[in-house]
Amino acid sequence: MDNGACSYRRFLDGDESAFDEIMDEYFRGLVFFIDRYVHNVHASEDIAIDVFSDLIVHKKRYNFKVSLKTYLYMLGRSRALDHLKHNKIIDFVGLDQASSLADEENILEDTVLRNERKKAVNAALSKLPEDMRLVIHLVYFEDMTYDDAARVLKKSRKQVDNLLYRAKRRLYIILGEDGECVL
Amino acid sequence: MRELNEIKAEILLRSEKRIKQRNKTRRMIISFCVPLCLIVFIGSAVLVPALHKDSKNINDEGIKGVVDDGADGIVNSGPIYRPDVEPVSPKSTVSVIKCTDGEEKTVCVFMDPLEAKEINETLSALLYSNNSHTTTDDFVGNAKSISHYLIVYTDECGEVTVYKLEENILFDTNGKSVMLGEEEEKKLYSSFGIG
Repeated sequence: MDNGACSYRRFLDGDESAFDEIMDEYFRGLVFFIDRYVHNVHASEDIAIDVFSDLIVHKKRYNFKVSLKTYLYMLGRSRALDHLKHNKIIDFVGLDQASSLADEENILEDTVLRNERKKAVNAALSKLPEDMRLVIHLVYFEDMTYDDAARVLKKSRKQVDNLLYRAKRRLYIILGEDGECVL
Repeated sequence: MRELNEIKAEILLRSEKRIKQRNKTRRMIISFCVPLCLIVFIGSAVLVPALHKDSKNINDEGIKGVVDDGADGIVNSGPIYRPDVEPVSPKSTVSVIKCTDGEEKTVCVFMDPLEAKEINETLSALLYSNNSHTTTDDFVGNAKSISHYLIVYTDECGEVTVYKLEENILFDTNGKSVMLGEEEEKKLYSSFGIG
C-alpha cells in the first residue's frame, strides 16, 4: 500500500478524481488527528483544509520519499502547532456552543472510529499525556509504522518505542482487566 | 461537520486564492528587483568612471594649490608637483628621488608631459655634449657619495630612463657621465626645487 502517493502522482499528471480519492481517504482522519492538538473541531477542519490546499498550491514540495499520509500528518502537526502558537489567548466559549462542539467531536469520532474497541481506547486516551496520546493515535488509529509516527512527531524511533510502551502500560491500568484484550 | 463536497470546494477556493497571491508576490518581486538591478548596473557603469574622473580632477587641483601656495618650501616657476601624487595616466613624467644611505625619498614629480620631455631632453643634451665622457663607474653608486638624486623619466609608452645626479656629476645607464659647470648645476638643482 502506497498510502496515497500513487493517487497524488495521478493528480499531478492531471487526474482530478485522484484528489477526491485522497480527500476521501485522509481528510477526516487528519481532522481527527489535528483535533488532538487544538481541541476544536472547526479549527481542526480549517487547518486540514489549509493542509490540503498546500498539496495543490505547492505541488513540487512533496518528494515521494515518505508516504503521502505521513506527509499530510507532518504538515497537519506543524500547522496545528502554529495555530496554537498564534492563538494563545484563551478563547471563552459559551455553554451552548461548547456542547455543540462536543457533539461535533462525537460525530467526528463516530465517522473516523467505526470500531468499538478503538472507541474505548479513544475514551481512555484523554487521561494520558499529550505525547503518549499522539503516538497511540498514529500507531493505533492510523496504522502508521513506528518510523512514520516518529517522522510526524519529529522524534526518534526509539523515543516513539518508549512512549508507546509507557502509554500502553498506562492504558492497561486505565482500561482495567479488559485493557489487554483491547490493545 | 461539513460535507466533503463542501470542503473540497473550500480547498479549491483557498488554493486558487493562494496561487493568485503567490503569483502577485512573484510579480511584485520581479517588478522591484529587475529595475533595481538595472539601476545598480547602470549606476556602477556610469558612476565608477565619473568618480575616477573626479578623483583625477581633485588631484590636479591639489597639485595646483601646492604650486600656488608654494607649500612645503617648493617655490618654483614651473609646475612642481607634490611627491605623493602618483601619475594616473600613461603620460610622460619625471620623478626626482633622493637617495641617502640606501633610503629613497621622492622629492618631486613632474606630471606635465611637455615639461617632462623638456627635462629629459636637457639631461640627455648635457650628457651627450662635448664635455661628457664614458665612465666605467657603477651607475648605482660610488662608495664615497653619501647622497645623490635619481631622475626617472617615463615616456608615453612606459619606457623608463634613469639619470643619476651626484653632486655636480650627471650619469646615465649607458655609462655616460658629464661634469656640470657651476651654472648648469645650479640651474638643474633649482629646476628640481632642490637647490
